[in-house]
Amino acid sequence: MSIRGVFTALVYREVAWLKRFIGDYVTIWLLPSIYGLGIVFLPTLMSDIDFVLQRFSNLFNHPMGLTDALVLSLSLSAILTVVAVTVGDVVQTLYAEFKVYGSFTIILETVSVSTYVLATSFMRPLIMTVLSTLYLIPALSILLGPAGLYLYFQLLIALTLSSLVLGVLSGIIGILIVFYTNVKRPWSVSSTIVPIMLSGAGVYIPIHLVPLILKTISSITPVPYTVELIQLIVLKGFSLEVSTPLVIIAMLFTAYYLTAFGISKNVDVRVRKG
Amino acid sequence: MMLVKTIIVEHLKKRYRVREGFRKTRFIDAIKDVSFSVNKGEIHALLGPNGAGKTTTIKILSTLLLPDGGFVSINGYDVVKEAEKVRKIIGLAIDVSKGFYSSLSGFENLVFYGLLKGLSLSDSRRRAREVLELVGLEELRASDTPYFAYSLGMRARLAIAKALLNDPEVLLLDEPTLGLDVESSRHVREMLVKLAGEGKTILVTGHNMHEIEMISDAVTIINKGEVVASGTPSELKNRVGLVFRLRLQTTLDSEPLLKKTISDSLSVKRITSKMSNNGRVEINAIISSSREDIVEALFKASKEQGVRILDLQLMEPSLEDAYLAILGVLDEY
Repeated sequence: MSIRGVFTALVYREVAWLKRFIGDYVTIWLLPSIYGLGIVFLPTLMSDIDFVLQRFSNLFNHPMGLTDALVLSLSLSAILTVVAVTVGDVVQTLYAEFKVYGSFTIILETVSVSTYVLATSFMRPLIMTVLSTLYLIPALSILLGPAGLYLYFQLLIALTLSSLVLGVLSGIIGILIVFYTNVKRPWSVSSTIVPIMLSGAGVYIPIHLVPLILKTISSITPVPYTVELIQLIVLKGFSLEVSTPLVIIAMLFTAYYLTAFGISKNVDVRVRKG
Repeated sequence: MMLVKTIIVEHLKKRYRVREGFRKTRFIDAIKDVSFSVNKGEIHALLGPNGAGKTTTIKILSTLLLPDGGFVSINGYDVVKEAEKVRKIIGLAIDVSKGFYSSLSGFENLVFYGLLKGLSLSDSRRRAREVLELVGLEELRASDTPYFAYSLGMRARLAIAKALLNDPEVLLLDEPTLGLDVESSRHVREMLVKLAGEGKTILVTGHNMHEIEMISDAVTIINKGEVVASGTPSELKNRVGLVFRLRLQTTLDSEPLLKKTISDSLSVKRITSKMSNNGRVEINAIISSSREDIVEALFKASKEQGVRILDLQLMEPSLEDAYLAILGVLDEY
């Protein structure tokens, strides 16, 4: 069994699902867009736009006009969808495959559990990051013209790296839920984990204002470093400063990959022993 | 012609560990000692009551489960040490009521499976179309319908289509006709016989003895994790000394003489008679003599003693009778 075959299979299935669930993606594109715009425009209901932009500039320690503020808030909104979609989908799909559909037979009779889980943890985030952030292309292009498209590709690199770590981490969470616990409603777990990851990452409020406990929990995920990466890319462009969050994300990826590999190997033996 | 053993199962053992609470662990011996072999191009039926170990055996053969003891090989490949090679030459249909992604169509599920099996995208698509047509799902226009909308019969057909996708040398089918209507069951039976004729080796489980008897070349009966009988259907029937069931109708006058003749000239295990609604007498007998002897005795009685036989039924023992007799649940044997 070639790993290429597994990847091709996963891409094929994802495309088939996309065709069937295109409506879901429209929702995924709409909600963060509303969030991104709301962050800038909602406060203007209480005060004028100049005051809001002044506060924005102070919070991020960078002078910003309306366009800059909208670009930053829309860019940050992408991490919401990436985290929600990656964690939710990887965890819940693994659960459904192994506990609901019974489609695990297809998997077990063709590949090892570790190959499948790791391939899923890679492939799904890669595809879904692109699909779930497509709304940024028109949004950023309207705001910045052709430079918006360039910025989107820069953001996509950051988001993809983050989603790869999230994918492997979600794979671990999924394995633990499916094979080591008696959880019957995995969606309640994934929908609890997502806000915890996000709230401590500096998406909703600047990182220096986040309570320590939330910050600590969030620091073992790639989300705060991705938020930092997005801020750096949007406000300062790709500079040397991005190397620090990138190195941390790479370290997290290595740690989670090794953990996922070990656990899924163990699960393969466990499942095949009955 | 020399027979090639495609599937070899020797002293197979499988024990399940069941956790009860945090501390207690219980063990269940699903398979204690199972040995049998299947020749190339043969349809071999694995029979037994629920919980006998049939599905566990199929799962071990298909590499889904690891055995705890014994040796199993398919086409010479050890299912434990050479699982990858085994997976390439087998097709599996297990628990035919589920096993696919509910939101994908039958075609999409098969292509996904083909890709996982290592086929190229174009080969997967081509084979998916071919096998869907073979199992009759194309004509039901079901190949593009999401799996969740499938009836049980359509699901079973798709499971068989999946088993055939990579054109395997060996088919492992666990109750493949479960839930199928009469026509579909017949279609599947004919297909299995045709595939065996083409040289494919088929191991099938099931509870429909009539169906198994029609298609199988050999049968292994397991009970409580052990083989209790093995052989061709006719061997099994002979081995347990099975008997014919005779049912005939006669007149009130002829009844005593006919009963006496049957009892005296044949090896009768039980004989009863009762009045039927039409004024005739119905005689029921269980006889362990040969078919020829029974026919001869009845003709002789009719010709020489003038007894009147108004209706006659001589029922051969079925595989179901043999199966029940072997399992010891048919008291009249």
